[in-house]
Amino acid sequence: MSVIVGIDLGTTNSLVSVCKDGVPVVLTDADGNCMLPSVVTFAEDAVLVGHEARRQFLKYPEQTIYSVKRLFGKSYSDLKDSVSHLPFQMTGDNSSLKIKAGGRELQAFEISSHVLAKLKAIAESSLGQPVEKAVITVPAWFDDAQRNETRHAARLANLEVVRILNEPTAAALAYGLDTKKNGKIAVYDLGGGTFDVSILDLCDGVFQVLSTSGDTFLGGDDMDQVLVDWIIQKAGPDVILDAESRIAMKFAAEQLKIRLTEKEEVEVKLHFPAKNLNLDTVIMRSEFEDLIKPLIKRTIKSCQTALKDSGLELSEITSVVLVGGATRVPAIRKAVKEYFEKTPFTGINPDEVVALGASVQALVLSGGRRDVLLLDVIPLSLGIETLGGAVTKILLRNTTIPVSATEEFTTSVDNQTAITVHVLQGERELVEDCRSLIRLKVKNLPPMPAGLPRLQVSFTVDENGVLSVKAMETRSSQSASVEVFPSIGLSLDAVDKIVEESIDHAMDDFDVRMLVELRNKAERIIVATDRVWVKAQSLMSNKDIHELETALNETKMALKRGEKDKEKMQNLVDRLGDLTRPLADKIFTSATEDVLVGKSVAEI
Amino acid sequence: MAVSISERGASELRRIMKEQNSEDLFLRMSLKGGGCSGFNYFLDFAREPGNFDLTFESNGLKIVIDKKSHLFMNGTVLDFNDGLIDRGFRFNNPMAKTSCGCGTSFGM
Repeated sequence: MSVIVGIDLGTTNSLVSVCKDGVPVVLTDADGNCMLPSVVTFAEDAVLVGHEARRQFLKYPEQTIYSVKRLFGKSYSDLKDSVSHLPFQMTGDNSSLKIKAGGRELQAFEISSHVLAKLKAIAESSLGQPVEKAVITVPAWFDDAQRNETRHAARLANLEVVRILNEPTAAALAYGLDTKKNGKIAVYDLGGGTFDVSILDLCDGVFQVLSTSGDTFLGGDDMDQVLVDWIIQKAGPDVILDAESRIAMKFAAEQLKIRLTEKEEVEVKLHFPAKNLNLDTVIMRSEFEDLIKPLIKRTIKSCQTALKDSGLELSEITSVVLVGGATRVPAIRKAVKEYFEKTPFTGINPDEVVALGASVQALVLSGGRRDVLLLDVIPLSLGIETLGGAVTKILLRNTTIPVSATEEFTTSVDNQTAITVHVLQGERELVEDCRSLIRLKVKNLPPMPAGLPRLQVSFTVDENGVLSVKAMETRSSQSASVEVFPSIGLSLDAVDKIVEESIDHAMDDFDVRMLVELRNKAERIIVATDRVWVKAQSLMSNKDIHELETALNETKMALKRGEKDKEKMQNLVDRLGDLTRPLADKIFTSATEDVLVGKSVAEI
Repeated sequence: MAVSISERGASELRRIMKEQNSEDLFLRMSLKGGGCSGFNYFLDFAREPGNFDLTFESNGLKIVIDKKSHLFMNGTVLDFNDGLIDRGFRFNNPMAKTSCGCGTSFGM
């Protein structure tokens, strides 16, 4: 059967995706890139697309065409000031538009076809088979002329368009919202340079666009620009503002924005002596949020318009979906949540969600079966990796959502300055038999002896099935948090298979788990005994010392050879326990005496 | 074999379920790796059994347990200690070889 791919043909970046075993995945090029910049360079002897084209931008500024999606369905006379900022040369009249590049005059779709052809090639080499059919997404507000231009581009790239799909619908499909049969969905899509908000009506599994609003010149790039302005202001009047320093600042601003998404406070160090640019300061997230407040306000205003046009009340909206890289900014998530009074779906990578949804539609059109798990229970247990490669479950399978649980953990090595929390999904006992969801790191811990840090790990699964993990070391208040959507890539069949496997392996897993716990226990006793070894000499008889030493050596050897016999390990641990218990009592008593000796009752 | 609930366990559960308005729910028993002796017992309420679940009735209460947990809890009687010290549910599991002082964790 021939495969149908899903394509997100974007203004700034494009992606191609496919469903493998019912699970949507984004395909990568040979270098592992998911996103292909929608940029085409007509060099002397070749047409370059994507990253290659972008790299050549400075060499061929006039032959490098980008943002061509903005020109779809437009005639030369349609172009007002809004697109005239594009630096390439255009001609035409009131029914046509030609872009001059590489000594030729090209229509917008001819340029886009190069991007589609590249995506087709990426898919073919990734899948190892020819790709001839695609579902391609377009903005919900695209008119017939714009949709037709998209079809022309595909035809030229030798791709048959089996469906033109609205981008917000694709995003809703990626989250499996169609399986809920009915609902009203708001999709907030803030890309690099454009903002769209759409209100969808889902009726018996079929989506209809009720209204759209937005701003064709508002996006993540504007946030970068706000930061560039901030840098210029901080840098002072002596800074030389030319193309070179502006590019450097733009790059720095983008990095700043990304880091401000993760941190409350970010250092800004920019040293560019030739341009009199010497900046060594700090920006707080709250400062950044104040700077972008007007931008966020504009998007919320569009949300109001879209809602009004849809004829719905705010309370009728059942789900909110976030799309576009810029929606990673916490202030945006907060504003959207506040406006719609609903926690938005954020678990799927917002850069990929539209492409993933397109391949879900492709799968449905090719007659494939799809299951998306939107259950009111957790389909598979969620936990973290603990000592010895074991998985400690925090939320068990079949727990009703929304739900929240917190457990406390500690370290097993002295002076750890960071703790990595490895989040896993599945029913088995060992890390290697579970599905790795994500890792987060709690950093900047003060050095502490093993066992002293108190790491509180909280798992919350909201009504959308999105898992938020928060890890906090309570002595130092250092914390880290992350969100994932554990149901992506899971079908009911896959869940059944995973549970069946865990039942088949239950006995072996149980033994392995016990062995891990016994080993950990043995290690703990050995470390603790080593610590008091000198003191033990004066508290125990020679015979007891000798016996304990023998038991310790035997256990150390068992650990070293990776003893797999559970009974043997159990016996060793029991014996160590029996031998060290009197020692622990004596140490406790002697420590108490040290404190009390020579003091009167009144002093105590 | 099966899992069951003692008389005292059942009356305490009925009291809790009445308090929470959840009298028609199942009691879910399960276990998870970890704890001082290797594995921990776990109790929860469930609306309905899922795939891979077994159901039992004991002292008028509906119990649901997943097949994997049942492998290690077959014959377990859930009891309730109503004394002032150590008050709480206890799992009397004939399959457990070692169990810890807290009575919510065991090894085999």
